[in-house]
Formats: sequence, structure tokens, C-alpha cells
Amino acid sequence: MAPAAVRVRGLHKSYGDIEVLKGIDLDVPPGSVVCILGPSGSGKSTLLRCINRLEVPEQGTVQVGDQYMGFSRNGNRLTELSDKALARQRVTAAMVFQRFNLFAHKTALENVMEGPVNVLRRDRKETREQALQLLAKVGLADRADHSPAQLSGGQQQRVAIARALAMKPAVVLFDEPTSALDPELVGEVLTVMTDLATAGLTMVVVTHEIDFARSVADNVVFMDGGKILEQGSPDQVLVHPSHDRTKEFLKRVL
Amino acid sequence: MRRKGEMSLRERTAARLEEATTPALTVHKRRKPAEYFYWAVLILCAYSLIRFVSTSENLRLDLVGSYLFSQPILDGVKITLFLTTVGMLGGTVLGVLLAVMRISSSPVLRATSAAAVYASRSIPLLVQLLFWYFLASIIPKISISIPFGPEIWSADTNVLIGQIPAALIALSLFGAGYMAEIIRSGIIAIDPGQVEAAASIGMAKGMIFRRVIMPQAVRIIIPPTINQFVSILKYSGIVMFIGVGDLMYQVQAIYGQNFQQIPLLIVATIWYGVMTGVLTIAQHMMEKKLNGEPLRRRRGSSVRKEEAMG
Ligand SMILES: Nc1ncnc2c1ncn2[C@@H]1O[C@H](COP(=O)(O)OP(=O)(O)O)[C@@H](O)[C@H]1O
Ligand SMILES: [Mg+2]
Repeated sequence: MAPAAVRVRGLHKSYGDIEVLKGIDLDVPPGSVVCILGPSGSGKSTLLRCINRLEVPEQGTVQVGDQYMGFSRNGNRLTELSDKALARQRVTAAMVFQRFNLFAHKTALENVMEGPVNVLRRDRKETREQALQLLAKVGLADRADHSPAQLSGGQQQRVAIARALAMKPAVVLFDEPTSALDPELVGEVLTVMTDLATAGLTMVVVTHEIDFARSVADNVVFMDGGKILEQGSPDQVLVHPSHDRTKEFLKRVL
Repeated sequence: MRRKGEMSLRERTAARLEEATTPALTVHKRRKPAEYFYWAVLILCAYSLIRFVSTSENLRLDLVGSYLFSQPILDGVKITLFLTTVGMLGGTVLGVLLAVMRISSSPVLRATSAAAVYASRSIPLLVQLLFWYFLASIIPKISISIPFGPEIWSADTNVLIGQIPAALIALSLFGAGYMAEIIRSGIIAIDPGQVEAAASIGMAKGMIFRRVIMPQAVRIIIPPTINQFVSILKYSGIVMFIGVGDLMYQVQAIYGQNFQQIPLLIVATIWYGVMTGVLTIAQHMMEKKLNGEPLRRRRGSSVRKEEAMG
């Protein structure tokens, strides 16, 4: 069996007294798209942020490829990584944020080049070529020298996707990538994401776009109250949900 | 509002009728009587001042002219500039250090920084100045040695911390607390999303600070920093208490002999004014340069911006 691109086991995370993740198990096969659905506050963002370890879980493990996130493995011993080594490890699980978070003092092109040049220490000229190709891929070749403030939300989000792809990550984590967009700009971002899925990128997508989940996801996960209530094919979860909570949720968003 | 093309025939007719029956109107600006009053008061004050200055025999404006570029005054200006610049530099370096400690994840560093900022802001400058100047009275000799081992280096405190070093240490430590707060406020004004994005592309803390936080924070930090610079410029006059020959010291030395206090204070005021003016111009130039870059054009959140664009 091919190793999962992402393997989450027994993940627990609390903020103070409130347990936000109550034991999450999740497998993301390489090249697949997993969509995570669930009501607000169910822990979807926290799960993504635990996968790339922007948040540190109290219990449980996250593997991305053969790496244990946050640890180096030596036989059966997991040793916690230094801040620097952890930072470097995060590259394998790039993230696309709800609020885009483009570097406000850099142009679109510089945003995409920032990681490869400064973190991966790639050649600047080569990186520039690749970054321009990535911008072309998300349909923004002509916006390379624009600053984030000069781009629409949809364009900013597409630059953010290019910035994530530039790191050549094993998986890209999308946290409600279209929720901050005006309705007419949602389509352009979903189109780019659909293309990436078709090209075989491994993706974990938190979204409320049921149509997107239905047509693009290989697996759909429904979360509620810090737990995964059910998961399966889009047909199983979205069309024939077995849980009342799932049915209720779907009725509300559709 | 409906466009013209969408008006019905009846509406159009009504509009034309109104146009035809409305008399030609002329527009007059509102009168502002208070403005005339302000002018009158201002002119009166200016007149009194000019008359006083030009007729007073006690106010020796000719002395202002002759002392303005005299050697002792120019020497004093040089010392004042040196103390201010180096003191400000020291304060800024310490301030950055304290600000970084304050936002670090280590509780020890955070508490140390908070205590240092508190001390820096609460101890009066004059107390600091005299403390460092008279340090030799409690610690006559400063030495560096291996713990429980031999001495590597030592010097007399009196020789090591003379007037100028004492002044520089005092100004640096006094400014450090203020600069730390100025820099910290610039840092916390940056959207945490910027830091998360940087972390998500593999940047470690130091790189995030240098490449993402600081370039955006400087825009916020510059105006209060120049303000602080101007404050230190004027505070530096206090060094005359330990006999450092700065501008204020020279001015006092001269009027101590010729008793022309006011003309010499005017000389000092002119020089402080010139130096403040230079700093103000520098601030405007820096702000203008930074405003040319992307961030400034961004108003409010990027989402709001996008709505504004359509
Ligand atoms: N930094 C934090 N500190 C305290 N509570 C938090 C923090 N982040 C999230 N939470 C809480 O954790 C719960 C789950 O949040 P989140 O993962 O953002 O949910 P979702 O993305 O599904 O809407 C919420 O109740 C939220 O208030
Ligand atoms: Mg969320």
C-alpha cells in the first residue's frame, strides 16, 4: 500500500479548558482531494493548523509523507524539532488562508518568489522564471508587478495559491479559500483549484462549497464538535449522509 | 437614481418645465466673520512684537547675530549633535532588543524586557546622568575576569566613564524604554496573518522578523521615532549638569559672564530649531519614500479594498 500523503492519528487539541479536537484520525492518499465540511467552530481550521503545526496538538501524531510533523524519528523515538527545523518541515504542507495573507509590502511576483529564494535558497533568476510560470498557471501573468492592494480578492487568492505551489509541497491545505470573496469572484478561484486537483495535487480543502466538494473531492469528511462524524465518497456523505447532524448541516448550506 | 434615458415622457416634460421656470441662480460663499477677528488679533500681536523687538534697548538682537556662529556656540552644536545622534542610536539598538525580547515566546525574556522598560521610563534622566557620572564613587574599578579565575582586563571607572560616556549611557538607557515601546507598537500593528503566511512557507522566526514584520513596521515606527529624536535633542541639554560642553552649556557659560541671558537663549533656540527642522524634513522625506511602496496604498482590509474596486 502506498504511504498516505497525510496521516493523522489520535489528534487532540485544547485551548485552555476547551477541547477543540477530540481525537481525529484522517488519511489523505497521495494525489487525492479531501474536502472537510462542518459547522463554524467545529475545529476545521484547528485541524489544518495542527497538520502544518502552526498549532501544537497536545496528543496525537501527524505524518506528512514519511515525516512526523514537529519531530525527527530515530527508531521508535520521536524527538521534538528545533524551531528552525520545524519551520523548514512546514514547507511540505503549504497553506492557503481564508484572508489570503499576501505579504502586503511585496508584489505578486515577489510573494511567489519569497519562499523559494529565501527559505529554499534557490537561484533567484531560475525562481523568477518558475514564479512567472506559476502566475500564468493561475491566470495572472499580467499582474506580476501588482501589489496585493491593487488586486481583487480573487486575484489575491490565486497569487496565494501560486505562492503555496512554489514551495513544491507534498500537500496543500486550503482553509475556506473562497469564504472571504464576493460571490462573483468565487468561481475563478475554484476553477484554479479544480485544475490543480485534476493535475494530481494532493489537497485538503475546508470549504462550504458543496458543488465543489461533490465534483472534485475523492473523500468528504464531516466534522462536528471536534470530531469526525462521518467520511466517505462525496456520494456517501453529501447525497446519502447517515448522520442527522450531517443532514441538518447540508440542509442549511444548500 | 435612474438615468436620463429611463425617464418617462411625463417626467422629462416635468423636468424641462422646472428648468424653464427656475430663475438663474448665483452662488455666494458663506461669510466667516470670525476669520477677520483672528486676522486682527494676529496683526496686533505681530505689530506689538515687532515694535518691542525693534525699539527695546535691553534686548540686544545684535548680540544674537554675533554669537550665532561664534566658535564656542558651534562647538556646542557639534557636541549636542554628537550626543543626540549616538544616544539615539544606542537607545534604538537597545529598544529593538527589548522589543524583540518582549514579543519572544520565553517568559523569562518577556519579564526581563518589561522590567527594563519600566526602569528606563521611570528613572529621571538627570538621575541616570548623575548616577553614571558618579559611578566611580561606589565602583572604583571595573574589571572583566573569568568567574573564580584570573582577571583578564580592568580599568579605573573614573577614566572609563568620563563626562561624555556617562552622558551617552544615560541618554541611551533613557531612550531605550521609549524606543522599545515605539517599536513594539509598530510590530503588534502588523496583521498576524502575515506571520502565519510566512511560517507556512517555511520561514523561521528570525527571518519572519527581518523579512516580513520589520519592513512593514518601519512605516508605523518612523514618525514616533523622529519625535523621540527631537525629544532627545532637547533633553540632551541636561548634560551641562556634569559639565559636558554642549550647546546649552556654552550658552550658559557666555551669559554667565556678560549677563545677556535672553539674546543667548535666542541663539540656542535658533540652533535647536534648525536641528529640529532638519529632522522634520528627514521625516517627511522618509515617509514620502515609504509611501511610494505598496502598503500605503492599501486602505483598510484587502477585502474591503476589493469591494471598492467593484
Ligand atoms: N487561538 C485560539 N484560542 C482560543 N480558542 C480558539 C482559538 N482558535 C480557535 N479557537 C476555538 O476553537 C474552536 C474551533 O475553532 P476553528 O478550528 O477555527 O473552527 P472552524 O474552522 O471549524 O470554524 C472554536 O470554538 C474557536 O472559538
Ligand atoms: Mg475556520
